[in-house]
Amino acid sequence: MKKWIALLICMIAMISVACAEENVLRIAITTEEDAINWPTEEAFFLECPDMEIEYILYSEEQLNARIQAGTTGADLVILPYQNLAVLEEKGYLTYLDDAAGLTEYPKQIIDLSSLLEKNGRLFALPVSIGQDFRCWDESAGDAIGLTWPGSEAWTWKECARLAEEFPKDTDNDGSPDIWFMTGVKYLTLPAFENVNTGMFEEYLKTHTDFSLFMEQYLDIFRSFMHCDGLLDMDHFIYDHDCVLLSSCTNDNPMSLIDRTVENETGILLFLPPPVLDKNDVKYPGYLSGCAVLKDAKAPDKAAAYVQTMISEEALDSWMFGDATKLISAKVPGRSYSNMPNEKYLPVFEFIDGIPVFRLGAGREFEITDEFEYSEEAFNEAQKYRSLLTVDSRSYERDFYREAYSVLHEWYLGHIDDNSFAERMNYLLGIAANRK
Amino acid sequence: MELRRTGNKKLKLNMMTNTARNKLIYPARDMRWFIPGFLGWLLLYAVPFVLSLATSFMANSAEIRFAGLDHYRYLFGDPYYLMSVKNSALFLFPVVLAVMILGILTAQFLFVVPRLRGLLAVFLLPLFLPAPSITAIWNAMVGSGSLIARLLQPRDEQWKYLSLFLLFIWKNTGIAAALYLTGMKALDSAVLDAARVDGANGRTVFFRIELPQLRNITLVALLYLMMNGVRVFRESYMLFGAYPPPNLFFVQHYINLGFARLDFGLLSAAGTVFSLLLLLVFALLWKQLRRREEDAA
Repeated sequence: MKKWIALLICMIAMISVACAEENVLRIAITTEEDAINWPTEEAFFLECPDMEIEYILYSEEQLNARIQAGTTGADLVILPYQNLAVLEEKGYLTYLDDAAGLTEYPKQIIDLSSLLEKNGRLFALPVSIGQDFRCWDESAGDAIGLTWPGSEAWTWKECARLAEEFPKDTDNDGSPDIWFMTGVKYLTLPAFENVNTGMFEEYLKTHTDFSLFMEQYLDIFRSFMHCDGLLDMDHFIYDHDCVLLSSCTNDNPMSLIDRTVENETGILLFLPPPVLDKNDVKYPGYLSGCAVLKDAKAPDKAAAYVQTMISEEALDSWMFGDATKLISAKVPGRSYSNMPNEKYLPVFEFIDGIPVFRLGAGREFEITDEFEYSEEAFNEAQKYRSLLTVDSRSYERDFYREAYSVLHEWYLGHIDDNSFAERMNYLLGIAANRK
Repeated sequence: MELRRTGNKKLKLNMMTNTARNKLIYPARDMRWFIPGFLGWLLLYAVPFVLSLATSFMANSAEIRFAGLDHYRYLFGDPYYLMSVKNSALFLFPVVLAVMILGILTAQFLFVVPRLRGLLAVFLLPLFLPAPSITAIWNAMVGSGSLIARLLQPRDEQWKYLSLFLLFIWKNTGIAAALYLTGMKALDSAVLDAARVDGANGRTVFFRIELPQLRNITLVALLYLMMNGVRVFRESYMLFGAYPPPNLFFVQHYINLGFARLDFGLLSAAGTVFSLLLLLVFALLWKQLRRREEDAA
């Protein structure tokens, strides 16, 4: 009898241990960069000092399979927008009004409500934002008497018209030295040289039907692609050639707006990329966000983390060198220094074959009370970044690789305009699962 | 049931089917050796297939909601799914036929020239190489950035089809040749010699005597190559990604894109329909070949 009682007590103890609440908030991610959120993490640890945060690094396919099986083991996800949109559509997320009491879009962060709200309900908060923009070489512009009027939106039609004035020979040595932009070469597509596909890319990011492109933009695109003003980098002469416009991708334009970046020839100015239509001004980029999973084991802790993301403590800080994670609507007052705090960069260890990074309170960061950029630059950048549009498709790399392949075929004359449109509509159709 | 004596052992029980043609004699006690394999098949194939079938009747959402035949109705109205089935068939049948023909010819060549049978190892080598290695080699040889492509500048869509077609042939001709060579070596040489003595030439011996006796080998080769043909998605994905040209958009691409969109019900339905189609094809082939064997007997 005593043996049975002892066994029963042991079993109860084991069950209690198994059911004991772990003080861990689990966040599923698919890139290592999403595990670096120092301001939010430190603000969270101030609120919940006994808690630990565990980042679980899955591949996209692993995460999809686990979501379907309900075995992610996570409370929150930090994912690219495309993945969050699919999760929301399929009902795998808890809206933030239910999860964290956020009944309206928080005013203290950059306004991306058009992307992160569905039927008026918020399903995720932004974590990092990167956008495409252009750099205008002020010295090159001055040399040819051209100044950019401002950072207002301009169209691809205006861009193509400007490009026709190039190249220019400013030193009268018989060879051009100022070009409009560089061309684009893809090593995997032979003989596809010195063309600029920016307009094509922008259209694919923002549309799911190629018909409009064929009707309104094809001729502009065709002339721009073959423009003489595009510099073939294979023929670039150092100390002789320069370009008026160059591209930046997936970054934050604050430094250019502040005019603090100098290149070898002069100063680069911020310029938005051309848009297709001035009545619909949106600038392509990427967005990653944080959302609460419906099957979160610790929904209250997840809610606490979400609230922390938009707290004064978190938004008043930023990580030096990673301006893409600036989501505050107000200039931050403090900076987490870059180099001295490198020791806190994530180090993943494998648990049951999955990379996991666990962290807790007690880290001692080096923080300075200054923000590198001017308030004017910050505000202008945030206004620009609020005009974000994001490619809603997954498999970006494969999609664009095939799109460029079709473009290449058209460029070489292997397929005519109709076949070009047909192939592009096929790609967009299978990507968006349209009938 | 009847008792049969084999050697000095007296068997207690034999199992025999009713038809004389399908006579299988397995001692009951030996059936236990099939149990591990059967359990493995059950766990790794049958159970997942049944679960997938069940999922195909559920909605594409986190909530467990019965969707009936919605996904199947959607599939048969979705031009991309129908296109993928058509592409899969248009790729599978020609490539399997091409490999079988090349396999038979290679086997016949090695059969009549025994001293070159060591070449079979060379033909079989691609089968043992890992798929990523093969695709890397293939991409370097005939991919878009290769010297061949730069020189020829072929139409991209046709070139991709041709390169996948040739890759499959290169990879699978060896096993087809090995299967047929094994079958040819098992043929009764007396029958072949008698035919030659009667005046039959090489072609007649090959088509009228060898090939009919290799029906079972043909069936095995056909089944194996069709399974491999369906699995060519792996190489296709590694070479061309998730968005191949339209003529290489197979059923697995459709399923793969559905997986990214978390359309689990829809992709399960797509897989189920395709599996049943393949099963039907196999069943028809089996019946056709067994009927010919009956006629021959």
